[in-house]
This record gives sequence, C-alpha cells and structure tokens, in this order.
Amino acid sequence: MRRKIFICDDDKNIVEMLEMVLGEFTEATIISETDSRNAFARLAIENPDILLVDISMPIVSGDQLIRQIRDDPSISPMFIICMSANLMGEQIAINAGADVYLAKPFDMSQLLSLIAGAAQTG
Amino acid sequence: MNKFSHRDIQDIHDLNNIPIVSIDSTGLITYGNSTALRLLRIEKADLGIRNFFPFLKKTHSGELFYQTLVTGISVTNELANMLVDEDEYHVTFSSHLIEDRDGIRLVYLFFQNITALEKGENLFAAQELKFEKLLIESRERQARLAAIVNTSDDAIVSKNLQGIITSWNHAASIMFGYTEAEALDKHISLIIPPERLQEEELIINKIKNSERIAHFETMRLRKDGKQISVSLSISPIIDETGKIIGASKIARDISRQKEFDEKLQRYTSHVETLNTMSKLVSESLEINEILQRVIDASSKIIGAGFGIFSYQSRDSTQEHQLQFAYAGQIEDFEKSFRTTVADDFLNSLDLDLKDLAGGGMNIESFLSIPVISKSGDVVGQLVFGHKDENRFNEDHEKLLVGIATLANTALENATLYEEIRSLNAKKDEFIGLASHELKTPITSLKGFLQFINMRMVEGDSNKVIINKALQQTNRLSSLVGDMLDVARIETGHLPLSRSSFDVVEMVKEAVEQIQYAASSHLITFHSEKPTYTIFGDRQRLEQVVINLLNNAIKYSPEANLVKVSVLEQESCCVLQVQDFGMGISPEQQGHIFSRFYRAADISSNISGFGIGLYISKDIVDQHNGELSVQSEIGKGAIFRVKIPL
Repeated sequence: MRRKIFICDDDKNIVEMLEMVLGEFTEATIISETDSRNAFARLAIENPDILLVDISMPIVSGDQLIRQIRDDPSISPMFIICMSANLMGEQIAINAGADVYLAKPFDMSQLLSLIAGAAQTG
Repeated sequence: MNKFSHRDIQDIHDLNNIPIVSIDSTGLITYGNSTALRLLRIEKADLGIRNFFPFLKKTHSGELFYQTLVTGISVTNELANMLVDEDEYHVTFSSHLIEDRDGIRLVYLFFQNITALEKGENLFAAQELKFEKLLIESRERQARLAAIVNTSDDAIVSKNLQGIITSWNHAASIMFGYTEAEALDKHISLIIPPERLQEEELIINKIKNSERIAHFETMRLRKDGKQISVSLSISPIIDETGKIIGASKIARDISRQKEFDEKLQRYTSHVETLNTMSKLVSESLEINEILQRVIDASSKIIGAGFGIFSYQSRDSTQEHQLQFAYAGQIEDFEKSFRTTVADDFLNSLDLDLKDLAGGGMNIESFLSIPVISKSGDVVGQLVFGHKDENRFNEDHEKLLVGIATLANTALENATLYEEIRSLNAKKDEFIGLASHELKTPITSLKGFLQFINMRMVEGDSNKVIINKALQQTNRLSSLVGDMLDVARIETGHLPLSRSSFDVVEMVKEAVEQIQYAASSHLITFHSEKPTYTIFGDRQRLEQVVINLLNNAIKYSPEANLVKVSVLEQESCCVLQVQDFGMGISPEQQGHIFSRFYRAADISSNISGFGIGLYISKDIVDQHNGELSVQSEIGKGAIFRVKIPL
C-alpha cells in the first residue's frame, strides 16, 4: 500500500514545490492543504503516514494542529515533520510533539532522507 | 666777738643731719657737714675750692646771701632752687652770719630739701585731678550707658525685689506698648501673661540667690493684649554694700526668630518629605502605581480628607488616556465624581469647588495643584479636600507643587519606559516577521532549484548554472540569517537550544558541507580523540565552524589548504581553523570581532556583511568559551574556538 504524505503550509509556492519534489522522488501519495482550519478534519479522513507541517499559519498554527493530533486518540499516530522560518521554531515544534524539525530554508536531500528514514521506522 | 672758733662750731654741725654749709664772702664753700656734702655731691677736698653760687638757680637767693654777709641780717626759711649736676632741688634755707673768736666771718646756711615734699603735694594734686577725671568719665560713661540703654533694640527694665519697675527704656516702650511714665512704679506683672505669673516668683527667687538667668524663652503680654515671644536675660542689681536690691532684665523680641525657626523647620521637613516621596515614586515605573503612591502619601502629609490624582497619560499609540488614583474616604464620592465631574476633568483638566459640591460632597477645604509637564502643558491635577474649614495653607500648597513636579518626572519616566518597552516588543515582532517573510520565498526558491537539479541527467550543460543559482540562494539565506542574528544580539543574546553532542561529528559535517561547495581548497581534519562531548547549541556552534571555514577560504585566495583540528586543552575542547592566506595585522586583530568590520583593503573583492565573526563571538561567549585569533601578515591565520568540556 502506498504511503500518504500530508502537506500543510499556508504558502502556496512551498506547497507546490513540495508536491513536485515529493511526487517525483517518493512513492507516496501526496495530499496538501493551505488552509490550516481545514487541516484537522482532512487529516482525520486521510489518515496520512507522514505530516509535513509549517508552524506559522494564520488562525490555526502548526503547533496547535500537532497538539490536536497528538491529543486525539481517534487519530492514528503519524510521523510529523515540522518546518518553520520562525527563530524559536525548533523549541515550539518539539514541545508540541513533532518528531523532527526542519528550519526553512532546508535542503531537499535532507527532507527526502528524513522521509525515507520515517518509512523504515514506520 | 665769739669765743668759739669756726672749727668748734663746725665740729658740732658735723653731728647735725640737716645739710649745713659755710661760705666765705667770695662764695667759696669752706665747710659742709656730711649731709650737705651728699646733697651737693662734693668731697671734703672740694672745700675751699668750689663756689657755692653755681649751685643756686635763682639769683635773688644769691642776693640774700650777700645780704646776710654784708648786713649780718639773718634770713629764715627762704625758698631757693638749687641745681646739682642738672638735678633741681627745691630747698628752704636759713642763713646766719657768725664771726668767730679770730674775727673770721662766715655765713652758715641751713637747708631743708623740700623737693620730695613738693612732689608729695603734686601727687595729691594729681590724684585730685584723677578723681575729677574719673568723675567726668564716670558721668560720661553713665551718659553713654543711658544712651545705649535707650537706643537698645532690646527692652531693658529694672525692678526691685518687690517686683516694682524702677527703669524702663525706649525699646521696652515699643516692645510692650507702655511709656516709661506708664510703666515706672508699676508691678512687673503688668507685662506677664496671667498664666505665667508663677514665672516671676521663680525669677525673683533666683535673683535673690544671686543667680543669673540667661536666654529664658517665654511669652510676655503687650498693652494691646497680644502675646509676644521673648528671650529674657536677668541679672541681680547689687548696691555698694553687696546687697541685692533688684534685678535688671533684658528682653529680646524673638517672635521673628521663632517664626524663622519654624519656617526653617517646615522647610527641612518639606525637603525630607520630598526626598521620601522621590524615593517612593522612583521605585516604580508603572503609571498607576506612581499615581497611587503619590496621592496616598501626599494626602497623608497634608492631612486631607480625600485626594484625587488625575493624569492624562499617553499610551504607545500616543492616544491620551485619563487615569485616576484616589486616596482617603472617597467611596461615595468616587461614584458621583466619576459621573458628574470626570467629564469636565477630561475636557478641561480643571475642577472647582462647585463641581465637587455638586458631587454631593460636604467640602469646606479644597486644594488643587496642577501637574505640569516638562513642555509646560498641564497633564494632570492633584486635588485634595476636607470637610472642615481652613485645613490647607500656603505651606501645603508649596509642598504639593514640589510633589507635583516630582510626580511628573516619575510619570514621564514611566511613560518613556513604557514606550521603550513597546518599541522593543515591536522590534522583536518585526524581526520575527522579517525572518518569516524573507525565509519563506527562499525556501520555495531553493526547493524548486534543487528539484530541477535532481531531475537533470548527468552531463546536462545547465547543471553548472543551476548549481550557481543554488549557491546564490544559500548565500542569500545565510545573509538573511546573519542579519536577524545581529538584530537579536543587539536586543540581548541569540537564543540557544542546548543539548549534549559530539564536537568531532559536528565539525566533520561542517567540513564536508563546505568542502562540497569549495573546490578551490582542500580542507583537512584531524582530531586528537575520536569524540569530544560538550553541552551546547549544536546548530549555533556549527554556524561558527562554517563561518570560520568560509572566512579561511575567502581570505586565502592564493592558497589551497585549510587545516581543521580538534584537541583538548585545560579541560576545554579546542577547535582550530588554520588558513595560509594574507594574514591579519595586529591592529586589525583588535577589530575583527566587532560588528560590520571587514578587512578594508580586500573587502571590495569579498562579499558579506562583515558580521560573521561578531555573531560567532556572541555564540562562543554564550557557551562560556573563547574565540581568538593568532596571525602574522603573510603567514595566514589560526582561529581558535575554546569551549569548556
């Protein structure tokens, strides 16, 4: 069964870029959402293996979303990669419950190896 | 004819102790008894040689001798002045002509030296003169004394032991309002307030014991019924037999001095109050707290029933906002004040008694002090009230003006502090925003470029171009990062996220990363031990290593080697990055760690903000480490990072 990667970032360019990279260089199904308000509902339905989420998003921030996921036992556990351009991003991400933190801008090779690693553990 | 010889007569005269001489008709001294020789200061040998006449000052006495010699008529007790060796004697003399048995006629002179006697008479006269002088002096002195007593600003009064006034000077008339005629022969209780009458008894008792009373401060009564503060000095008056017959009293009006003393005391207490107040308000930078402290303390100081401090503060958006602080019993009042008066306050910052009375308060005393800003605007008001009349005075007003000034200073400081705090928060907010806004497009740009790069087949001629574009993206990214780091260092320090990690592994990764991008230089790495574990921010320290490696390559364009090593020294982990470039002069070495410094002569060829080492130093400092350089011009440089293990 193909794995699912859920991308959530309010910046359309980043979402588009990540869709292209992950679509081309992984075997996974890529789902994306630019409005974090819809993210939780969609996640509950999609049940992805990996969540790639930004922190600084309007209304519902990435760390809020991560907490919501981690606090809800009905949502099956997923590998969460949190990315941010925020200076205090790493602390926020890890405190919220993310597995890995990526500071923007990051290397695609780094992202791909993280996803490959997550596939092995997952 | 005499039956004695002169010799016999002279033998007898030798026994006499009054001066006796004999002279012959020519004036030669033929004989002198011992007393006479002493008087004339001559020797026996001089007899028959010295003439008597030179000893006589007055010629008429000489004539008398002649008279005696010629006529044989004796003289008695004639006055004459004699001169012996310049000394003048006053003498009386008697002369007597004697013809002895041999018929020799000699005049015998009997002297009495009356010089001393005359002197004695003069002394008496002199003493008489002296007494007369003393008498005049004494009269003059008395006159002078009287003049002094009369012109003295101090009241001088004397009384007998029965307390009856015996003298009364001009100042006493002015001070107490009674003329001399009115006061003389009256009892001293004339000027003593009834409640102080027992003082007089004490004073008289002391005087009777010959005691003096100095600077006794009390109150005395004027003719017009007013009481005045006086300082009394009282001494006994003693007659010539030593008996105490009364007292002289000097009274000084000290009302003004008292007033001055009180003023001084008030002034001192004002200064103290202001000091306390200053301390109190300077301890706070919160506007509300300052308002409350000022109104609480000042209401207490002046004993007000209630106090209100209204203040027009400026918030960070420069909007005016009226704030109030209340003190005292004001609960009921506050409500009506808020509804009826607060609007007026807002509009005019001016409040009068009518408004307060309209607020349902029973106020008889009222005091209002404006709070004036440094620019001269009225920015607030201190209002005090009391239900009783005349509770506030000019002193209160003066003190409160001082307090209002103090309060304004403290409030302006608090406002400035508030502004700085808000600006600082805005700055942090901006840094965060800039960080996010700049890094987001770089993220997608980098991703797209890497995507193209990864899709290109080996040997594609565009791959070089894509790599260059990627390099520039990385540079842009690191420049943005540096800029934000500097902004954060300026407001404090870079936030660190610490964990235990292996320095060797971190350095290896950094070396690999830089070596990958730099084909011009070979970077060698050597570590004394396989691992060095430290507790710190791995990412930030990696940033330092990358910065040092980039510098090493940038500043040694002619060389092709960079040596990196890790070793242990004095329980520190030491990382060394050595290049073989142009080196750094000692003057430059002092500046390279400061902000925006770049090696001047070569900066045009080398890009960057010149903030890499500044940031690196802050990072190393935060790890309690040390970033240093060792270099010689032309021989390259060694940068050393020392971090405690």
